[in-house]
Amino acid sequence: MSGTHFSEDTRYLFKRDRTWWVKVAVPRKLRDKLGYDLRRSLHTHDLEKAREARWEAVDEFRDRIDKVKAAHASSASGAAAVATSADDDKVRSSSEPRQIGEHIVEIVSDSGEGAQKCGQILGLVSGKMGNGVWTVEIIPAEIQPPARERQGASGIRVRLGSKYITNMGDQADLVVAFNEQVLYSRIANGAYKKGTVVLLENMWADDADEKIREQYQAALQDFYAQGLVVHELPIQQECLKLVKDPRKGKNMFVLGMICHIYNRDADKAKEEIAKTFRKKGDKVIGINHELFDAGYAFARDNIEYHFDIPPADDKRLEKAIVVNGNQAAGLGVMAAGIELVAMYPITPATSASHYLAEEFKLTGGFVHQAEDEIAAIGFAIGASYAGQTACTITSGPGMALKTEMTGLAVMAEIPLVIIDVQRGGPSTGLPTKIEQGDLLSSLYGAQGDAPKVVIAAATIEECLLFVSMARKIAESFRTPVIILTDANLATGVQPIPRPDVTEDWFPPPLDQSAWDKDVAAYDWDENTGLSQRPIPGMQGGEYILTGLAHNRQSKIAYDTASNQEGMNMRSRKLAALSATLKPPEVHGDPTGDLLIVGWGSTLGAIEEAVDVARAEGKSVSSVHPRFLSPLEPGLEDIFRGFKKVMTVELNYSDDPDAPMINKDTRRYAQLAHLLRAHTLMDIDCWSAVPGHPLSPQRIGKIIDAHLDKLEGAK
Amino acid sequence: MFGLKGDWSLEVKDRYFTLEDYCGAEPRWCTGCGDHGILAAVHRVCRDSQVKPEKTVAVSGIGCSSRLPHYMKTYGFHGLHGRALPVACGIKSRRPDLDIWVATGDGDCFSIGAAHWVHAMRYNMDLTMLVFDNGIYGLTKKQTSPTTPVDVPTNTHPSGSLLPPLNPLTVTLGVTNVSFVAQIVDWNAQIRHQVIQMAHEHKGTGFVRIIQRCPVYVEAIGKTLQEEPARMQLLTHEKGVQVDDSVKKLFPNHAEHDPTDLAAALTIAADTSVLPLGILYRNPDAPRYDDISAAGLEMSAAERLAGMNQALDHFAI
Amino acid sequence: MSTVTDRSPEVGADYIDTLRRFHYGEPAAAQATRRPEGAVLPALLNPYRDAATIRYRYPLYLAPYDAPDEAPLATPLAQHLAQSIATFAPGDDEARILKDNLPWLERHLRNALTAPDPVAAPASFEAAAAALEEHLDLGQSNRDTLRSDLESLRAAIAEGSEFLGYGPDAPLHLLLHAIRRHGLPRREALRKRIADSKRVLESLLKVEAARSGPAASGAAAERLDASLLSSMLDKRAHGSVAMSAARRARIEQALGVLQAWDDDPVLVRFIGKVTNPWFGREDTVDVIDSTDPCAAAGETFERDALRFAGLFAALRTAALEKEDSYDPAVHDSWFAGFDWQSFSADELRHVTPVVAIVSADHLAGDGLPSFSRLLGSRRPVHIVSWIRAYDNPAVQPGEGPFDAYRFELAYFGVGHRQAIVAQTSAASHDDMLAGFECALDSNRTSLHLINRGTQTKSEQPILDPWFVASAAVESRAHPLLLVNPDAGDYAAERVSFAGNPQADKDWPVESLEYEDPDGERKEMSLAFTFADYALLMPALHEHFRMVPKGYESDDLVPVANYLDSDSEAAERLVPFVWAIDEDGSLVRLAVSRALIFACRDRLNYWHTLQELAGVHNFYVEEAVERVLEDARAAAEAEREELLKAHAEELDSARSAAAGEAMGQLVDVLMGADLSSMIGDSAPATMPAAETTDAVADDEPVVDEAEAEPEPEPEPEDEELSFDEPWLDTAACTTCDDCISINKMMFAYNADKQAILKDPRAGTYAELVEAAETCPAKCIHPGKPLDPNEPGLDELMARAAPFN
Repeated sequence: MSGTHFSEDTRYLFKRDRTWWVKVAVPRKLRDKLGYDLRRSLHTHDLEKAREARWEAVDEFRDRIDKVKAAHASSASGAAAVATSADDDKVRSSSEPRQIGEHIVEIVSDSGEGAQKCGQILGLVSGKMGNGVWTVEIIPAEIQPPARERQGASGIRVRLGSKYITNMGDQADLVVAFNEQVLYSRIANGAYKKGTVVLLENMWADDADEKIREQYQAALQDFYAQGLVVHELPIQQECLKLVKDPRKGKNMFVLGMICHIYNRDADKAKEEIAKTFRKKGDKVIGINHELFDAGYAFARDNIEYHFDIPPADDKRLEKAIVVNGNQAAGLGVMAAGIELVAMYPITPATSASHYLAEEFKLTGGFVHQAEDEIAAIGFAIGASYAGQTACTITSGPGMALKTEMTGLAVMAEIPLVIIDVQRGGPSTGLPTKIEQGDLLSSLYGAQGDAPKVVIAAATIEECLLFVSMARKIAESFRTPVIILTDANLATGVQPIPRPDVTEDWFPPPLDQSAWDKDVAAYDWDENTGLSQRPIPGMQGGEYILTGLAHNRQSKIAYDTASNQEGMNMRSRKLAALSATLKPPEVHGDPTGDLLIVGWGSTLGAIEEAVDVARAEGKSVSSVHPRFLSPLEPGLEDIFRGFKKVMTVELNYSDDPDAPMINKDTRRYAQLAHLLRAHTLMDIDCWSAVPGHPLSPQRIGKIIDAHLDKLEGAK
Repeated sequence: MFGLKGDWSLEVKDRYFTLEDYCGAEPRWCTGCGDHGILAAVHRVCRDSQVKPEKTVAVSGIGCSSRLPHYMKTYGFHGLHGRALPVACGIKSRRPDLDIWVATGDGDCFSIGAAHWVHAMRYNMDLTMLVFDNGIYGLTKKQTSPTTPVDVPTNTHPSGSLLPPLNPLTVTLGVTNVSFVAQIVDWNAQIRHQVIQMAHEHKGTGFVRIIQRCPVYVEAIGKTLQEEPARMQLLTHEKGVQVDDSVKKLFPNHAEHDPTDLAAALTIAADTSVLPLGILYRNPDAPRYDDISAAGLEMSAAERLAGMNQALDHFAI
Repeated sequence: MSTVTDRSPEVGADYIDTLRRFHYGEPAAAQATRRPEGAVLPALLNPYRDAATIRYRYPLYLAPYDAPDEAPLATPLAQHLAQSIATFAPGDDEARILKDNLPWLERHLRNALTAPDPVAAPASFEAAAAALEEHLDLGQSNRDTLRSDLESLRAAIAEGSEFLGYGPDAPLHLLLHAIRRHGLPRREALRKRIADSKRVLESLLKVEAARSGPAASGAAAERLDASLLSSMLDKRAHGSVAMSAARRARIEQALGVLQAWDDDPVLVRFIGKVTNPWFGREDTVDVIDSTDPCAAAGETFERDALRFAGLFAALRTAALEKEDSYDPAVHDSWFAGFDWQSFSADELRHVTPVVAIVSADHLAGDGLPSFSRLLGSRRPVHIVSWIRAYDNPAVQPGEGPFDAYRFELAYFGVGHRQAIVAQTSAASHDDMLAGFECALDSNRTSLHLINRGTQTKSEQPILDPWFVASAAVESRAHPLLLVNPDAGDYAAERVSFAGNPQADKDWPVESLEYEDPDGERKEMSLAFTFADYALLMPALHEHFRMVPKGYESDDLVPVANYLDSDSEAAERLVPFVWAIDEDGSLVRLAVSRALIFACRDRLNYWHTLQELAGVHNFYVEEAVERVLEDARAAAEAEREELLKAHAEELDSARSAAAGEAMGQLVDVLMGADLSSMIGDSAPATMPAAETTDAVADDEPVVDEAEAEPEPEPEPEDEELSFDEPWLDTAACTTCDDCISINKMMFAYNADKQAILKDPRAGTYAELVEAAETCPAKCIHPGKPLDPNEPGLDELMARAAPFN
């Protein structure tokens, strides 16, 4: 990349596309006012010019920071801060937007009012504008819950910032609500804080139904009591000026509002709107553009909030694609050169197959919707046995049904990629909600000893990348590989680096060479347990695959020696794989007081929490293994570097303080359970099953609590 | 004439296969078991059609019938109880070049594998499907199977099975897109060979229910039929089974039946007073799932890569 | 309507002598008599004086090369328009205006075709349509109907279609059209085959490359130690056998050829004199000038074939490698000597067609040796030659066309036996195309002898060339003939005579209407002879002399009758042809003896061809009679057969009645195809009789069975009797039961069905047990071989049901 030679002086400078920007960091204490840094484009591609121009901007930023520092000296409370900020917004309303580092926006409504579409577009536009973004949908359990139902909250959360964003964050800063009832479930989920700004549809205030009018007033009181900053807005009324039934279209009006509030690029937004409705024709697009413009104007003239969130300076966003975890997994399947996906519909995994059903043909693949979960994995195993590596995608209940077939794949050493988009269990559990409950069942949920590879994607990007890794491992080690993702990754949407796929990601063409008759079907290498598999069509390789105990020739063999050897060899493959793995990297110092161990989708929240804690000078680090079977090497050594090691997981474990729970009875979280057995170290855990992702703040509290205990222990 | 023999050089190395090239391990079935004969028929049909052993895959589930792959010298897949069909279909889905045999039984197919049976019929992939129906669970030692006759005592129903047996023919004929349904007895070589051969040549799923003797646990079933041939009705037709007089003599009760007539086939199948033998239904034009599922196989790595980038472009910002 | 003017002759009664002397070729008499003056036409051709008023087969509508197969290559414009209108306006009152003015449209299109080359049909149709509208200048509503009808008609003129008028190059244009229609789809198929083969070979190489490829790529590389993994994978045993260096080299070589292959646009090479620059401009045509086209064509083909040999060898190698069935021992030598002679029929058709375009004179003259060599060479090269129907191609300088017997190029071609010979006329395009397509589908040398009518100014056509060409066919001057050796080895299979008018007659006979002096309509039937055709050629007018109007003589006879009359009668007679002069009156023209010789020569050739084509073929007629004979005989024989069979049926049925044991055997025998043995059942009736005795003594069955006359037993069947144990192998179900009872006694044959290997290898007890257990009931224990075996009575009782 030209312009970033280290020799040259680029202090305060950075580059977006080819344009130079100037940037001055903001002291941590002032960030809630000014954001992480102050920045502005110098509108030049020329480094020399930029060097000249930067100083003016730097000076200006510096004294802006000093001003705020002075004001902040009499440090105000969070709520007050919002209030005051609101005040000086009024002052310079619609003039200079106030620069902030990040914000969390929620749009909540009854289902079917398009809040999610609205948030998705906001996310896309912000991605295009170079912001870090995380979008997550708020989904009610039922498909069509009754209107104005507290549990029926349907909507979306969008977190945008000037840095790469890895999780859905803490409480929302600004909420747009289509009715007051749906807010309750969000409040119950702790989604809001004192000072969260609520822009509330006010049509209910004078609804024909008295009960509704009362509900509305009551709710307002509750919200004020909660410390929410509520603004009642005539959204319906405004929309009626343009359309007869605002239930359709209100969301675009709201999008317009939000786009002005966050100083989003209106043209980009309109492009996305056009894309969204392109199937419905220009007329529909036109109406929605009008609604958008109306909302934008309305905010300009009536809403004092006006922020700017400058683009993030992050390589990962330079060449990005915006996807959710299931789309990423789908892309991963294609990038892995997988031939066939056999599936059976199940929430929350199905959308991955929906995506593939649309696009798989681009890479020559085929999606088979089987008659049941067992047939799905059976079909995939068949294709894979015949040399065409296949994949099956499911969720917990499906995993349970597939265990017998998984055992067969292990026993007969059939390569296979199994993607488990975890949801809440046991039984049917929480179909739409997140939990990390399938770790142990993935490891052990099969008849007898069935050693297999289990890896967990920690980011949406890894949902994509791990599939091709899994395929490679499955074929090299002649084994099934389970990839664990979860509802958080599946529904989270963010810009991720576009992978640079090359032909060598795909498997080579089907090998139909002759087979050396002297090489048995399972000619295990004593040291690694590895063997090459004959593929139907290979002359001389004919063998009968069986799920029964068998010898190297794949002949049924019930004798002790054969059975022992087969078991040894299948297990040895895991040791061999482990030997090729690199030890995990510690996030933070390699030694210290507390080490948080996590797995899967909690990575973003944990590391953000650890960063905050460390910034406050606390001695905490985290580590996040991706391989769970076999475990990554060197974990024990890493653990020894800390006074306390604990896992943080989204699955069940007994609270040590709960009745009847003591060191004899306590059941640990799943990774903790695994690590304790693996390392013989007293590894603690904190875990819970809230059904929604962990927030950095919550983890921060856990960290503090355990650090305090450590202090106390001294 | 000159020029026309030009292609001979493609054939010179083609191999010739004898029965031995398809015969695997020595069968371990009991003496007098009908499976021996079915296996022999499979070997002969393979030999007659000269399919390459390495291009042949015998897929089975669990049960006496499902030992068949071990007695083949081809590729084989001896999987899980009831799951032969999903595996077989999976193999065929991306390897249309392979010749697939499915060996299953009354328990394996009609009971634990029933869901797969119905759907495989509908997929109508190009497989030859042999159901060894002896009306009993043999491998697990004499439990009632879906086709055990009412009066036959078993270890799970010592006073005889409680309900009338399932009629696999009506079920199979009832499935949309079914394309080949036949029934034979293991002890008539001529009909057996002819029908299995036709099932194998059929493009689509060739379903053959084989009434098969288990002399160890339910000798009576086979014996009665053998001693009273009038209990069976031989269906003959120019599009179906054609036998010579000696066979006709063995089956005094025979009728002409046009296998393209589904309605007639259903009527015949539904009448349980006699056991129909021969081809009940045959439709070579039924759509085949493997024609669809194999799409894209020919793509080169370069084409796949181009497609991949196209897919990524759809998400680019 | 022509007339006979009644005018007293200005010559004397003896004028016939003068004519006779002219006939015999006396110069003085030739001087004394009048040559035909002005535009005199054979009487039958008079109606065609003005071609402009007549609809004939040209112009042609040429369907685009990618039109569906059933679409004809070329259709007469008139026919195409009529058919197209019929599709969208079947009723008489539909599209009336258009239908009524179709002739106008046609003529306009025809006249617009000034160039001898095809023009884009859609454009010229649109022009004509516009012209028609303007010409009719209708009121608005009618104009609209007409326009919409014209548009529907326009839709029937496919994009890429062409109109071709009748001109000197029409045959070449049609040939090129046929080659496009056949060649372009073929080339597509070849492209696909090349692409597929490339993919196959590339995959094979990729598989090899993967053996030593990186163990981890993409994401895997970030988290796994790729080199350690590779070493692990390398250390394990490798079942999949790596390619031999030789095979890899072979595959790379073949792949190289396929990758290097670029198919040039040329679809055909014309070799010889092609004066029309149009062909030079076509990029699908490669025009090569040559003085000896036949030789040059052969060499050109060899050159092209060599190029294709490399390609096909590569394609075949690919096919072999795909199956991994390339066997160096066999194929190396095969491909070493791989040339076009070893091409498959299909491959051969891919080689760029070569067409030698040669004048008839050259073929019959200096070009004769290379012409003959090419016809015998097996090379699928095409020869096209233009035939002047009245002329003799072998004519020497200074000679007239009738001074020697005509050199018949077609017959010369037929003499080479293995070449396709098509003598066709540009006038009847479909016969000509049939010849072209037949040649393009085959892999033989082909000879196309085409008459185009009079085309050169010097010949001063009186009639439009198309009619002259048609007249050549009509008059047997240029008979149509297609000989296709692919069709079989006998003339009957090879020769097609289609398109010749009244092929079973010597000359076609038409009737002519005229008015006699009293203005009365009369009719006479005229034969259209070679002499009539000759009259069309001003150059030959010297062979004709006017018979003065009104002059009558019994010695004047029409040419056809003259040729029929016996030789000494002929000596006095003077042959003439009926003609019609400019002012439409019937005249007679006396004919020279030279021309009469020519007529006889042509007639003789015509008879030869008739025989080839099976018209009036005495052998055939004889054969037919013979066949009828045989048929009668065969019918008789069959009847007797049936009677005999019936008798045997009765026999077997009767003997069947001879008891249970007998019945068993008969069943078996009827199953096994051994009906000849039925007679031998006689000795067997004894035990049967015993068993039946037990039931009833006075059972008449036995006597009746014995009463049956027995045919002589055939020696090889002497073994068989009921006492012998035996096994009906065909019925065995391979149940293993008997084998497991005694492996020495029973065994399997090649079909894995049981045979009775050695009945003495075990006890009778075992044999009976086997019979009882056999599910197919195909074991028949017969009588015990060892009379001392214990418990025989009981065993035999058990055995009885199975014997």
